[in-house]
Amino acid sequence: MEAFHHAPISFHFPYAFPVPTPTTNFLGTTTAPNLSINGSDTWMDSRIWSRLPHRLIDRIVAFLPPPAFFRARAVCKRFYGLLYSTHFLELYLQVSPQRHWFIFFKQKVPRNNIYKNNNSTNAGSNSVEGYLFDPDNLSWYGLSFALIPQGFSPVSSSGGLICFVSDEAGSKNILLCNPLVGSIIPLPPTLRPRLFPSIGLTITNSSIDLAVAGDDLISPYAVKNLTTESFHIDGNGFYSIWGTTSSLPRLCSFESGKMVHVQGRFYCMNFSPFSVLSYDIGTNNWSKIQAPMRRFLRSPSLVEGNGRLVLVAAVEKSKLNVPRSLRLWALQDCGTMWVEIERMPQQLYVQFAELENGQGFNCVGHGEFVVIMIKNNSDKALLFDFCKKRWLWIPPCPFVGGNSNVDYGGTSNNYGGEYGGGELHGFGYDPRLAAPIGALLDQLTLPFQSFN
Amino acid sequence: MSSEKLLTLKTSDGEEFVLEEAMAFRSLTIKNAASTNTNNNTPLSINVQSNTMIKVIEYWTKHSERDISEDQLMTFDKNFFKLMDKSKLFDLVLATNYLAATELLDAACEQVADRIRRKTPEEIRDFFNITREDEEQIFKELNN
Repeated sequence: MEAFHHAPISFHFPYAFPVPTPTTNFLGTTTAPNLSINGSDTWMDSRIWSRLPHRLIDRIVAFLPPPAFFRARAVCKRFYGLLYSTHFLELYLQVSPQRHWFIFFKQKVPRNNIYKNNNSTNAGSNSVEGYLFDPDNLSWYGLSFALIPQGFSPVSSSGGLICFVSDEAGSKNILLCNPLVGSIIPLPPTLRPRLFPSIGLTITNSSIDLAVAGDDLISPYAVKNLTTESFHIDGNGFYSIWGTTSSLPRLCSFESGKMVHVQGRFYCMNFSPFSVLSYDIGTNNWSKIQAPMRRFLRSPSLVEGNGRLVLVAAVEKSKLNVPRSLRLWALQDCGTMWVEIERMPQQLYVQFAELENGQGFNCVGHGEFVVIMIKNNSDKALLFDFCKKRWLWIPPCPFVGGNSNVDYGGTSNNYGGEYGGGELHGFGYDPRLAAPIGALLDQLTLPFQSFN
Repeated sequence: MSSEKLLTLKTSDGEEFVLEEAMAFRSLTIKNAASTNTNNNTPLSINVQSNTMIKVIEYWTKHSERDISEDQLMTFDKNFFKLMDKSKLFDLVLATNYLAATELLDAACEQVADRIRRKTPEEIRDFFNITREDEEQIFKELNN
């Protein structure tokens, strides 16, 4: 992919798009002939129509997926400038389809760095690299995050933006980044000191909701899951900056991780015994949902699947006559009942179990796709497609492991440095050329702290 | 049979097509023209060739069918575009733009995007007939 421009760009969009009226030609193309009611014969001159008018070519370009779009910028000056053209971006926001892609990052180790991370000894391990995965074509792309400062890790993504949170214990700094255009938007830091809280994020064209939960530092060396802070901004001017803190249910123990957003709630997995914690964004309340077959689950993960919360886990209990399998359950509308919606075909499960060897696996979902990654083995991952009911092995990421000689402006051979032995973690990501929410944040004057 | 109102369209090469008004109104251009055309007996002239119009009507008809599954529609769309060569596809894009029939316009644009996705910049230039002269032309026009 092309190197990205480093100047942050802010876009200002009107929130209403032009509506066609009887007097104006809908798409405003000046080269199209006018509608004649009286029937005058205007022939389409082949010299004129051998080329499409610019507006239509723009419309076609707006449908290109980001990697193809960036390649197309080399076609001519006009294409190059489309990325900065308000007209094009408005068109893009109207027509560009949602893409259920994924982005993965190398796991940072160690995770228990309460001490300040001393990076001066790690030469060249500084810039974060992301690996973009297109499940429709099973292809990988590398993305550079050169602008992200030291000490931040990616935790979540929504609306085309990726959320980075500071690693250091204490009040957390948060950045929203669009890697395709190199823009970074800082949010005000959280209020309570935390170690590695779980983050839930959902962004639409006109609102941001963020929840930061758990890992409260009750003393410099002790953490407890106590509270949640939430952040909200929307186009109607309503905002709540870490104003509401709500208590977590007692004795909950969720591993720090991401929260999955489904229809106005954030969900995360709770351990020993397994259950699902649900946070209602509107009312700032937590509740617990029992997990299906909770005593027989292994390596459960939550993913969002086509508008529903889906639990993915291996099922095994040697004492029962329950065949070992990998199953998916969907939470029903009542909010408490689960229904099994899918099971990995037995033959495939045998293969999978052999590779996985009891180490566990992580799952991430986006739209109709679920990616199942075997722990400690970034080469082997499965892709499941809800719509086509298809299971596929994903080709290994070419930027990780043996093929790490690819230069992306930072070395990938970091086995001794910050990044661990090739284990990938990630989340669903819809690569967008523009996110209108940036304009919204610009318009509201908030006391942002610099993150230097 | 329903008592649907019918509309007659006359293409640029003189062919006439009769459609249900509801279907024809998928084109905003036709809809707006019909609302200002008080004489209901004369056919509405549209600046679209008949062979392109046939394709447009074929698409509209399929997408107006009731009791058709998503899968069947997807298969239809795939086959509908598969057989079109570049010039027919471009004709369709131009026609649906003129007709302001956004659903089909976007489907056609997406199809073109699919065809150029894997092309090199040189191939894309070739595909759209983009030349260096274009830029010099535009520059000259702007300065005159």
